Amino acid sequence: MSLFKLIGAFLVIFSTGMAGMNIASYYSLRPRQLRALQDALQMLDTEIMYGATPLPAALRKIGQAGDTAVSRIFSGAAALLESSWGYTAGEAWSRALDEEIGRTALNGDDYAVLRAFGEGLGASDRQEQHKKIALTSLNLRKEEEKAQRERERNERLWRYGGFLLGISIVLLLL
Amino acid sequence: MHGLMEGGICQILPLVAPALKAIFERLPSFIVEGLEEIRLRRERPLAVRYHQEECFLNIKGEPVHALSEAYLVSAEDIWKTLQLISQGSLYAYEEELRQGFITLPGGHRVGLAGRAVLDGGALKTMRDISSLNIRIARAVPGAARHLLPFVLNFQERRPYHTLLVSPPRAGKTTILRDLVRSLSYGLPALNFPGLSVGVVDERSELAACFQGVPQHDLGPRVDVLDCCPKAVGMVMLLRSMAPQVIATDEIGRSEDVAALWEMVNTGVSILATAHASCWEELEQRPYLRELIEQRVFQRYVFLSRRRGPGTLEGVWDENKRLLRGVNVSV
Repeated sequence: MSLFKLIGAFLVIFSTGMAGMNIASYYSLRPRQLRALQDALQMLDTEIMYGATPLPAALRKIGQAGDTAVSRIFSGAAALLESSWGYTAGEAWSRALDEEIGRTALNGDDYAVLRAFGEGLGASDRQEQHKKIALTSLNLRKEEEKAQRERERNERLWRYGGFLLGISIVLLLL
Repeated sequence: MHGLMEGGICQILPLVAPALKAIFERLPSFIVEGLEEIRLRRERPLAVRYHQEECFLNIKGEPVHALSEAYLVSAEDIWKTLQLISQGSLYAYEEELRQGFITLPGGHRVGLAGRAVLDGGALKTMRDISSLNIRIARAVPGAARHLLPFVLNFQERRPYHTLLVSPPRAGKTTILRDLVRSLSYGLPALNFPGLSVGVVDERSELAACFQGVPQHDLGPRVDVLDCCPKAVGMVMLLRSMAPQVIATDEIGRSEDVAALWEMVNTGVSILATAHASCWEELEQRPYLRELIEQRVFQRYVFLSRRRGPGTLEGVWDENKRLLRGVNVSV
């Protein structure tokens, strides 16, 4: 009987611990993805300012550069733009964003920033595009700082908190 | 010919706003066959030109002549079309916006008008585009065939310095393009060898390059300097590519003429075009008059639209002696 208890206790601690780790990884993933987004925008800025590369090619290149969930937004938008369905750059971007956002660790605030980025994307001269990218990067950096603070507060808590919760449940039930 | 023009509208359909696309898909075939031009003006009726006729279109793609029945082009139609034409990347077309037109795959051209943005007196870019004019390109192989005996110097195995003269839309560029193509392929029937031709295509019209690739077949011996100012381009091509013939479109500014002076005595033959409908008009152009007086050009070919684009009015030599006139059947 005590063997069953032991196994049960182990299972409880293991599962709450894993759940905690999972939540903790969300807290560490979000700032990383926000960082990756800024890097991607930096690349886009270079492509636009120095190469005057058309968006489909530029977005595809950025999409291929990383394999995080974030870069899938870029390759998704490139694919839609290259399709013959008549999407404008802004429409292609927001569709790709809506499709991929669920697979990222980004939250509603990040979504709002990225959504705003899509409006007027590609539809003005290089200087305007540069300003737009700079503004979006700035907003993403603010979000990243917030995410970083949340991470510091919550990551360790959840990483160990899950196990501690499991242990306390076991102790209560024993 | 039929297939070519259908190709034209097919290449354009994916590039217009969905609302317009639906209209063009329903166009009757007699318009599709002769389609020359599509005009989009904000809050104005949708207009097309076909077989030299102009008409408005209603929402079903039928030709109408009453203003009230025509489909009004919305600001969004223009905006979306512009986005699709530029692949959602208007910033990549800054030079084209400055020049006022964009070249599409297939060599079709879109003219633009809107609000100009100036920077120190020079046109920086264009905003609030309100009019688009889509001109369907058509290559007419053999358009210059009947000219060839007059512009080729068989003894020296090169073409004469030739100026093609016509009012706008009378087929100058089409004929020059075919001349270039004929020279570049060579003319085995006339025992004339193929020559290296350098094309300075300032307005991307002659070769109609799309991302560096000529959209018109210009034959195997052509080097195209795309979007380059003519005066700079001619000198550059002469040095870099050693062409036997240099072709360029629409000369008339002082720097073009100065560059031509540099060209004439280097052994390269020059093919060029100019806007004018008759000798008097041509000689009133200040810089061109100088060239005529100095007998730089050895052949003058006048064209008109009298019997459709590309009607040959006559060929004159450097002494303004008529070699072939309209009374001679073409």
